Amino acid sequence: MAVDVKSRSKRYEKLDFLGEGQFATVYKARDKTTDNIVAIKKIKVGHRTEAKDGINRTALREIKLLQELHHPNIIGVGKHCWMPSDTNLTSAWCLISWKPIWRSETVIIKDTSLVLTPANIKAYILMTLQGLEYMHQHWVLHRDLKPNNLLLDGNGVLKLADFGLAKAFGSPNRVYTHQVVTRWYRSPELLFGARMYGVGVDMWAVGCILAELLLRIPFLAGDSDLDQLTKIFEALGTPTEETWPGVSSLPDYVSFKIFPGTPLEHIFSAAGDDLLELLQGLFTFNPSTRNTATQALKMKYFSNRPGPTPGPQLPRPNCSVEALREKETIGLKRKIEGLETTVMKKKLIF
Amino acid sequence: MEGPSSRLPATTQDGPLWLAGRTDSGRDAESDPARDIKTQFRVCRFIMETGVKLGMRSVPVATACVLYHRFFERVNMRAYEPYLVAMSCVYLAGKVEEQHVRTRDIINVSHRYFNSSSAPLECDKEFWDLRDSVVQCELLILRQLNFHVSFEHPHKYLLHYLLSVKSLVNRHAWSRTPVAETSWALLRDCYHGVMCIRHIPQHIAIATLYLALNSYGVEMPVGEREWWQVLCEDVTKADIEAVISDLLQLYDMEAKCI
Repeated sequence: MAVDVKSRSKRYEKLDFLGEGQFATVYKARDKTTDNIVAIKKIKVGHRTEAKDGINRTALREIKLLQELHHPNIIGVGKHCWMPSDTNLTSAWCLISWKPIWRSETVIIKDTSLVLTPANIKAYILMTLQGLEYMHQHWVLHRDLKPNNLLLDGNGVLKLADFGLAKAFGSPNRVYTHQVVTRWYRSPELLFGARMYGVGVDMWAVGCILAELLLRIPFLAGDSDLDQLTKIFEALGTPTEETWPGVSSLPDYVSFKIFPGTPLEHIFSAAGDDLLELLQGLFTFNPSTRNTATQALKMKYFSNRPGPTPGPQLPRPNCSVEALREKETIGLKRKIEGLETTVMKKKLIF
Repeated sequence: MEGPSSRLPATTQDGPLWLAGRTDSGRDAESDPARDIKTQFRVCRFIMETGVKLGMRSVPVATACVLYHRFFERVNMRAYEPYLVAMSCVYLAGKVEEQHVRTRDIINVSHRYFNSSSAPLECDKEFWDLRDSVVQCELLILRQLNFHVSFEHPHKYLLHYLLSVKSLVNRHAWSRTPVAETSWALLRDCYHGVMCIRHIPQHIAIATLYLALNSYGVEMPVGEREWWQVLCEDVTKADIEAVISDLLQLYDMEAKCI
C-alpha cells in the first residue's frame, strides 16, 4: 500500500505552475511512465499547526464529488487521488486531466481576435447544459458557474470544473448559505437572501454565461449586491408579486424602483427568436418556473440550424497558452482598475 | 505494512491512557483472528453508541463504520489503536455526510463511554494531545483509503423497498407489525462486522426486509416471481441467505462479547 503511494507520487514530474485557488494549486506535470502531459491539482490539507480541524471540508467535498460524477462535460479525477507519503500529510494530489486545458474565459471571451459564430456559441452552451443536466440529475448543484470555471480541452470539449462550492441538494428543509456564486452570475433569489433554492441558481448563471458569449463582456457586472440587483432589474425589469410570487417574503428583500426593463431582442439584437426564447427561459425571475437544464436542452434553439460546431472545429486560441496567461493577468488588472469603464461600456450597449 | 506511523504523534500509536488501559486494545505481536473479530464488534458498538449520543443520523453512523472496516482491511489491527481510529472515523463521517460533529464533542462522549462515572476531561495537555491525534488519524485514514470516502449504503434501498412492500401487504397486518422499525434495526446491526462491506447494498436491504417480514410471519402475495425478485432483479435466494447468515453470526458474537 505505502509502496504504491510512493511510486505514484514519483510517477509525475512537476513542470509548471498553472494556477492557484483558495484551497488548491494546479500544476502541469509529466507522467514519466507514459510521457503524457497531465494537470495535477494539489489540494491543501493544511499544515499541522493551522489545520486544527483536519481536512478542509470544502476540499473533501470537491474530491468526493469529482470521484462520483462521470460525464464527458465534467472534469474527472477518477481513481487518481492520493496523498504523498513524503510531505507531512499536508496535501492531497488529484490527477485532473490529461489534455491541455484552457479556461473558456481566456480563450473564447477575452480573446477578441477570435470570431465566435452562432454555431460555436451553441456548441459551448450545449456542452455546459449537458454537463449541468447530468449534475442536477445526480442531485448536485454546482453553485459557482462562471466562464472561468468552464474549461476547454485540446479537442474542444468543454468541461465544468471547480467543485469547491458544489453541494448535494434535494433534502427538504435543508438550509443552505446564499453566499454562493460569483456576484455577476448570482441569481436574484440568492441576492435576496434565499436559504432554500435549487437548480435555478445554476440556470441563471448559464443565462449570464450565454449572454456573455453573445456580448463578449460580462452581461450584469454589479459592484455590490444591491448594485447587482439594480443592474438585473434595469436590464430585465423589476419583478413583482405577480411575476414572482413570494419574492417580497425573501429574507433580504428590498423593494426596488420599478424598471420597465429592456426587451431581450434589443439587448441581443443579433440573436434569433429561438435563442431569445432560451434566454427568456433562463432569465425567468421566479426560480420555480425558470427553465431546468433538461427543459432548456429540449428547446427549439438546439434543434434549429445551425447545428453546434463539432468539438475539433471550435476556435483555438491564436496564441500559446503562456501568452494567454499573461494576457489574463493583464486583463485581471484592467478589470480591477477599470470597473468604471466597464460600467460605462455597458451603458452604451443598452 | 510499511506504516507512516513514525511521523504521527506518539499518542496515535499508544493512545491516551484511558484508551490504552482497555483489555481489547492491547497490541500483541501475534494475531488472533477470533479476538480481532470481537474487538471489531466492540469498536463498532462504540461507534454506534457515540454516533447516537452525538445525535448523528443513521447514514453518517453507517459511513463511520464502513470507514473503520475499510481502514482495517488495509492495515493490521495491531498497528493502530482501534478506538482512536473509530473516533476519527466518526469525525470524518460527519464531514463526508455533511453532518459535522466537533472533535471536542467526540472526545467528551468517548471519555464518558469509557469512564462513565468520572468528570469530563479537563482542557489540559491530555485533551489537546488527544484532539491532535484524532485529526492526524483522520488524515491517515484518508491516505489509506485514497480519498475514497463516499459509499453507497443500503438505507435508501430499504426505504424504497419498504414503500413498495407496504402497498402489497394487507393494511391491517402492516399496522400491527413493526416491519419497518425491525428491518431498519437489523440494517443498523449489519454494520457491526465486515459483512457491511462484503455484500451489495441492495442485497443487504432485501435480506433485512426478508428477515423482518419472516420474523413477524407477514404473508406476501405469491405470484410468478418472488417479491424480492420483483424489487431487486439480480438478487438470489443464496445471496439473501448469505447476508442473513452473516447477520445471525453477529448476533451470536454479541452474546460472546458482552
